[in-house]
Amino acid sequence: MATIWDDLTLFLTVWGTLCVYSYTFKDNPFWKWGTNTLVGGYIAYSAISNIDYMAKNVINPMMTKVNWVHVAAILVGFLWYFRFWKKYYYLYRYALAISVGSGIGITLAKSVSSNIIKQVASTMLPLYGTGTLRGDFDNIVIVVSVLSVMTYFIFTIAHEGPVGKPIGWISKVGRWVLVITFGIDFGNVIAARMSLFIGTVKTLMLPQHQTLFAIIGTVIMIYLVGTELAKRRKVAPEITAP
Amino acid sequence: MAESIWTKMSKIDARWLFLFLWIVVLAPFIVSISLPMKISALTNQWYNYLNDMPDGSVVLWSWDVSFAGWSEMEASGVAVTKLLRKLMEERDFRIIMIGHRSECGPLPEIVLKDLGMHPDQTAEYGKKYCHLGYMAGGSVAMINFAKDIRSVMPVDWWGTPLDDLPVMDGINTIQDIDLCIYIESGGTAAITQWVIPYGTKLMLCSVQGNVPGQMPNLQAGLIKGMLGGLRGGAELEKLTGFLGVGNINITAFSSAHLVIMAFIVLANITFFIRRARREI
Repeated sequence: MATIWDDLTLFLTVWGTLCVYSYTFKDNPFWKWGTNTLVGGYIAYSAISNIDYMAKNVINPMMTKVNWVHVAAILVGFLWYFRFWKKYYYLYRYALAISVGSGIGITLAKSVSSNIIKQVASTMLPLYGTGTLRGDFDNIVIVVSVLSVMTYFIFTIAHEGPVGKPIGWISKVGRWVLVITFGIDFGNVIAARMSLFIGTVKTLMLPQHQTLFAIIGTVIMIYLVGTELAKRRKVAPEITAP
Repeated sequence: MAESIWTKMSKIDARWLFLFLWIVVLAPFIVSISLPMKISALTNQWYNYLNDMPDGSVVLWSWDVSFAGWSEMEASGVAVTKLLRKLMEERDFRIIMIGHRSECGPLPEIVLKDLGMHPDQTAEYGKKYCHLGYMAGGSVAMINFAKDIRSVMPVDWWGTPLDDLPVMDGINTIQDIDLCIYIESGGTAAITQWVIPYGTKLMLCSVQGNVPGQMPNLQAGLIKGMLGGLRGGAELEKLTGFLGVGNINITAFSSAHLVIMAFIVLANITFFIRRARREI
């Protein structure tokens, strides 16, 4: 049997979703409520999740055996809270420095391999002899695109004279490649946003949500259209007889 | 001078387009419409790689998807879990689920519950599959997880010690994992922390927006396969026969894109006609 909490969950799901999407009409109080609640709720949820992780995986095991590395890490973690204490604010910087420093150290060393060496190696491709015409064509496209885009970013040589002119032509190809890439990226962003929207609409169209969707959607729509019409009437110039 | 129809079209309030999109997206959920879908080479490659893994493989099913991203990635998340369950039952695969975001404790739990795999629903939990829950700490935790799983995750999501779960027997480091499937909605550190130092085999389920960014990694062999967004999920559903949310959503997805393409073409026609008529 559905409890009052189940009903409240259903209501909040539909209400919150429609409040956020009401922004597509205009900035309004429903949208403000939706986004502020989302941000506040998410931060609270993240805090609780992390505390829960710490309790289960760090604090509880220490009840039987103290791990001094974990104790030191927890103490450094507490330094973050000195940000709110003007007198000892500098202590917060130690926590920040350790976080940033270790983060960069951890990521940078391996990024060179994954983001540079492996990527460069995968561009050293045979331009013919892959076995298929399509394979040859793909490799040519990759190599030409990489070289032309890199040429586009050479700004130290003027595009004139016997050396500069060919560089200018290659640079133009690079510009085309970049523009096509941006187009593909833009298309993907649209696809991503539509996927999110469709997933949300699917949730709203679940049998248990449909009635609420219709009621809340109508109420919000009436409010938004009503206020818009009222605003237009207010700013419309008065017509006076000649 | 009266405005031409082209000028009027260029001034259409964007909200009419939003309303039109709402109608187009809602329509397939109200009226049963189905548009054809071809399975892409990318999805085939992903599926074949998983299928070619030897019997008894250990798969780390890593979750790094936000609540917002879940509406896009639900199809992939559910279809991959169903496929892994099938491989677990038929080919003795072992599945270890883990979350890299705070949302990825409860999200896999919801999926397990829907599929009847929750510990409250079956005694099979822990024998061939388990859910370790949310692992806080990002890249730092991933490094330690790779060296010693129990040092960062001594218990599973429900507080059971890993040593009490038969599925975790002999699995101590990332090198005991044969394949990692990573579902993400905002990039992955698995390449830098697991693939580069340990040579872990990695397959992705990425949000659509990240697909172009991950393609060079696929080309470089750092990832073995990639399912792209809602479409990838829907294709996997079709390929495996586990039809679900992806195949319901994909018609709305296709029709919405047709409408957007029509808008873009119309806007460009309007622009060029107005320019030819010297209206701009």
